[in-house]
Amino acid sequence: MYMKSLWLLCGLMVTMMTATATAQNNGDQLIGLWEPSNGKARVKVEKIGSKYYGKIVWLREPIDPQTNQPKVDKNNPDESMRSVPLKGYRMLKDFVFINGEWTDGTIYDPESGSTYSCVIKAKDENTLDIRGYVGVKALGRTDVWKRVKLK
Amino acid sequence: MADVREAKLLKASLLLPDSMNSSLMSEITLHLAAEKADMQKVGVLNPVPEGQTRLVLQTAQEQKNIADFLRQPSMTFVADINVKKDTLPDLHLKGIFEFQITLNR
Repeated sequence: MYMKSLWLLCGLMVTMMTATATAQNNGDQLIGLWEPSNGKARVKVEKIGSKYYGKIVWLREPIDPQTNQPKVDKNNPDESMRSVPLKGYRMLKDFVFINGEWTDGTIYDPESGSTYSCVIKAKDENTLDIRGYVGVKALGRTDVWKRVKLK
Repeated sequence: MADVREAKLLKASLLLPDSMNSSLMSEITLHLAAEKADMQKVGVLNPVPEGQTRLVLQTAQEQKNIADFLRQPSMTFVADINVKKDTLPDLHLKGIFEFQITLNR
């Protein structure tokens, strides 16, 4: 009886370890290059520590027609940071992978200068549902991002 | 540093190795990241001046909860560097950061 329990415990531990490893692997599924539905930018997601961050690495229209210079974060509430370039901008921050989704993060909309709470779900390995919201998840908007495959 | 009450990044400089200068770089943005703190942008240099090996960044006027980073066991300085041509070799930088820290008594 004791032996049986021990084996059962070992079996459970192996199952738990496998589940943990799988969960970590699924979390890293977010790493890569993604394009929002409007096609205006491409965002590279990487992992720093245990959290996920995404920065703009390509803009369809990189030049600001008003200044004829590369676009900067001109709507940032902090005036001292308005010279931050949009190319390289960290628009996804601090996502952690919990229960099959990336949560606790934020998404920044450079067109409005607003930051929203955000949750990310993978529809499949090449498609993401990115939901930005204020306060509660019901009050938000979902965009579909596609993975960009480099040739 | 559990006794930190307030903190602010006052100065941030990046030092390039003597073998290279800043001519291939166009812009730099500096963030702080840590396990239990939200990433925060703390510095920028746009444009990067040419021919320099010491780059002094402009630090953010508005800095929130910098003390949270200093209370962690570790934190990461993340420098996002845009380059003019994608030909930079592996880049090893040194950073000099000056914080103003207020401790609890």
